[in-house]
Amino acid sequence: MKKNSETVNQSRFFETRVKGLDRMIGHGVRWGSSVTIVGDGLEKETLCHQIVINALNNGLIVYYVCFKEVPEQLRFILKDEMNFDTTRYERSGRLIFYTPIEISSAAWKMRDTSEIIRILSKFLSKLMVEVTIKVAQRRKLLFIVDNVSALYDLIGEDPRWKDFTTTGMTWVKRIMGAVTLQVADLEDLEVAESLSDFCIVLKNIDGIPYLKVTKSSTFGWTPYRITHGELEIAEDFL
Amino acid sequence: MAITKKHVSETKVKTGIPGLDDLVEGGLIRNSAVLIRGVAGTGKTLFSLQYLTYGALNGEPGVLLSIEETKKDLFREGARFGWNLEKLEKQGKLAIIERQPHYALTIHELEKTARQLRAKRAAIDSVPALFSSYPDELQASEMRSAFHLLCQVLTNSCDCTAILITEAEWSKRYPYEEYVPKGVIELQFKIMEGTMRRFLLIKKMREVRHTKRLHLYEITNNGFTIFVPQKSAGE
Repeated sequence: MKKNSETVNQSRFFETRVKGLDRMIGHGVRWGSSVTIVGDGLEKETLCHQIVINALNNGLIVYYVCFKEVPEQLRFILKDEMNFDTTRYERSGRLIFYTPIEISSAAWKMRDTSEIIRILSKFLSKLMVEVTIKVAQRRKLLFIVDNVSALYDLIGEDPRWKDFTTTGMTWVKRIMGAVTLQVADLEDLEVAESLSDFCIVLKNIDGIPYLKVTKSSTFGWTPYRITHGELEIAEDFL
Repeated sequence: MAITKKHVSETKVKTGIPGLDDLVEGGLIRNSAVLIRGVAGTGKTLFSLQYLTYGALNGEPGVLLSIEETKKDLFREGARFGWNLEKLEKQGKLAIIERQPHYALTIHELEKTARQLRAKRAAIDSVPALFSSYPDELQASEMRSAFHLLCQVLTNSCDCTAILITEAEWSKRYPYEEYVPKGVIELQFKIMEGTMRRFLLIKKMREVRHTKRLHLYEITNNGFTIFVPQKSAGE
């Protein structure tokens, strides 16, 4: 992980700076793309957090929408597992955590789609205002949505939900010009593939951890390892 | 892995294959014979070259009996991975023997060279090629005792830890191969959703507590490398 090189990345690609991954993707993620990290273990979160840290160290602004943990928990996880203190970045407005906490409550549990869409619409409108200012300042953004599997459950059941996600995705991609990185469970790979430009799939096969990039990569299942808490592609095996 | 000088243990012989020694409690048992079996393209010859090169650079000279590949071919193969086999041979750290007109002469040459070199490592590439080269001298019914004798020559007379390369098809015809040596390592292919991957399985390794699962490996710019999911500090 490259640290303290806080220069704004102005290239055509967003580089994850995860060893070997940008090569697998093909230079990095094109701005305006939507990517989903799909996996069956906790390592999908490790990869997501690693990319977040690398993005912050590379001068980007990160919007982190989390449907699983509250900001306090995320701060703790980043500190405990990645030895990364978010304080400086949060203070300078470079890392913004959003937890639409209401979703975790009754409406979410009851799967009241109208209520959820209302909450998310309100949240998205608020976000749009904030982000528009950042975009005007020509800042590059990384938009994290962790974990979207719960939201995927609703897709297909209610056409309003699909409209909402399409609108949201279009806004994120076209208006924001950001890279959207989502995290999903392996069982949602099919939905993730249909909604993303490509997926980064983490899967354990016969006890060996493999990673594959769908759609855009010529590389097949490639082993990866976790070294000092960070994921890296076994580049020798590419 | 760039092959470098490392400490060589008294009782265990480091293979020089990154990741393999950890799977067999530190290396091969000294003065044992280990069968390396696989289909074409799994890296059997490379395995033996890497094993011998590592030894040559670490004070354990080695001898290779190559039946089908010429010295020139092997020098070229080694150069692909940065190993100067020609230089090692000139320095008396490695000897490559080619097939002789008679089986007995070939074995005699192997034994003589190993003694001259004070070799500690030996490799036969390959057993099927060696045995089928002398149809008039070696009958199918004599193969088992010939194979047993070959292992004895390598490990006792030559005082070496030996790698015996064999082919999957040959093993089906002559299953005795599995019983005689101390260890059997199998190299396999697997197609995973369109991607070819190579796997190593330690099928048998007497006196050693070894892993029983498939291990991913690859032939990299540095040679034969076993995938290690977690690297230890300092690696």
